[in-house]
Amino acid sequence: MTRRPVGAFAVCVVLAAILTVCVILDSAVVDVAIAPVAAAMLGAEFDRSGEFIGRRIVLLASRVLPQEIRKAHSEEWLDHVRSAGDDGLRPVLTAIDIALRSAPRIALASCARRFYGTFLLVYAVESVCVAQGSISNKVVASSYRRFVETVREAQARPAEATVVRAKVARVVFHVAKTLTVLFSLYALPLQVVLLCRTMVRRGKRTLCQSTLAQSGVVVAILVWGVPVMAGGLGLGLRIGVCQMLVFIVYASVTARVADNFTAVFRRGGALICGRTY
Amino acid sequence: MRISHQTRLVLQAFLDTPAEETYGYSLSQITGLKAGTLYPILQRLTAEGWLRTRWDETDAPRGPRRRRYYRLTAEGERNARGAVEEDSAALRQLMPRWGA
Repeated sequence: MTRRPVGAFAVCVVLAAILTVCVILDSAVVDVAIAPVAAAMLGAEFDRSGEFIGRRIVLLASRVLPQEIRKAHSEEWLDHVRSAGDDGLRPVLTAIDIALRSAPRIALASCARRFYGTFLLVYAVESVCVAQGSISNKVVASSYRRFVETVREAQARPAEATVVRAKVARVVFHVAKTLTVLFSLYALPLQVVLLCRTMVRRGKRTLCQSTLAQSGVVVAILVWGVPVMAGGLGLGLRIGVCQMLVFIVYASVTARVADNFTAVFRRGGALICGRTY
Repeated sequence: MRISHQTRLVLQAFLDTPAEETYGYSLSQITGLKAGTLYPILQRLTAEGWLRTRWDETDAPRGPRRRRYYRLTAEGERNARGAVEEDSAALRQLMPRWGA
C-alpha cells in the first residue's frame, strides 16, 4: 500500500465532531468559515481512505462474532469491501451494511441459538427434576449432561478436522431441539403457575407496579421478537418459554423497585398535599 | 428450512451455473442483494449443508488475498431445485402461462 492510511478513522471522527459542533453553535460566521471547510475535508478524507475505513468498520463488526468463526467471516467481509472499490463512500457503505445487518444476524444465529438452546434445556430439565424429583428425571438430567459435554467437545474442535463428530453433533442437536420443545411444553404451565403466584403474593398492584409490569411486557416482546425475526417461529417459541422465566425474574425485581417508588410517592404526596394516599 | 425470497434468489443464482464456484461479492452483483442480507443467507445455507465452501488465494492489484468460494452440494442442488420449483408451481397456479 503506497499511501499512509493510519489515523484516517480518527481524522474522520474529529472532522465529524467539528461539523456537529458547527451545527450546534448555529453561528453565521462558523457556518460560512468553518463548516464548509470541515465538510470538504471530511468528504476528501472519505474519498482518500474509504477502503481503509471500511476495513476498520468490518474488523470492529467481526468482534461480535464468536471466536471460532470470527477470522473466516472477517476475511470474507474484508474481501467483499476490497472488491466494492478502493476509494469513496462505496466501501464504507458496504462495511456499514455488513456491520449493522450481517454481523449481528450471524452472531445471533451462531451464539444466541446455541446459548439460549443450552440454557433452555438446562432450565427445562431442572424444572422437570424439581417438579417431580423422580429417578427417571435424574436419568434424563444425567443423559442431558452427557449430551452437553459431547456438543461442547465437538464445538471446541475445528469443523474441518472432525467432520464426522460435527455430523454426529448435528444429529444430536436436532434431537435435542425436539426434546427442548417437548420439555418446554411441560415447563410452560409450571412457569405460568409460578408467575401467577408471584403476582398474587405481591398483593394489590400500585400504579407504579402496573406501569413497570407493562414495560416488562414490552421488554419481553423485544426479547421474543428479535429471535423470531432472526431465526423463525421455531426459535421464537423456544425463546418465548425462556422469556417467561425472564418475566418472572423481572416481575420479582420490579416489584421491589416499585415498592421503593411507592414509598417515595407517598412521601412526596404527603409533602405536597399534606396527607398520604 | 425457511426459504425467503432472497434465499430463492441466491439459490437461483447457484442453479444457473451449478458447475461453477462463486464468491460473496460476485453473488451480490448477480442477485442484487446487499452484503448485509447475503452473508447471513450464505451462512445458513452452509450450516444446513446445502453449500460447500473453499478458500483460495486470489491475485489483486494490491497483493494476494484470501477469498471464500461457494458451490452447491448434491443435496443442496436437489433441495434448491425443489424450492425453486415450488415457487414456480405456486406462480403457475396463479398465472397458468407462467414459464410456458
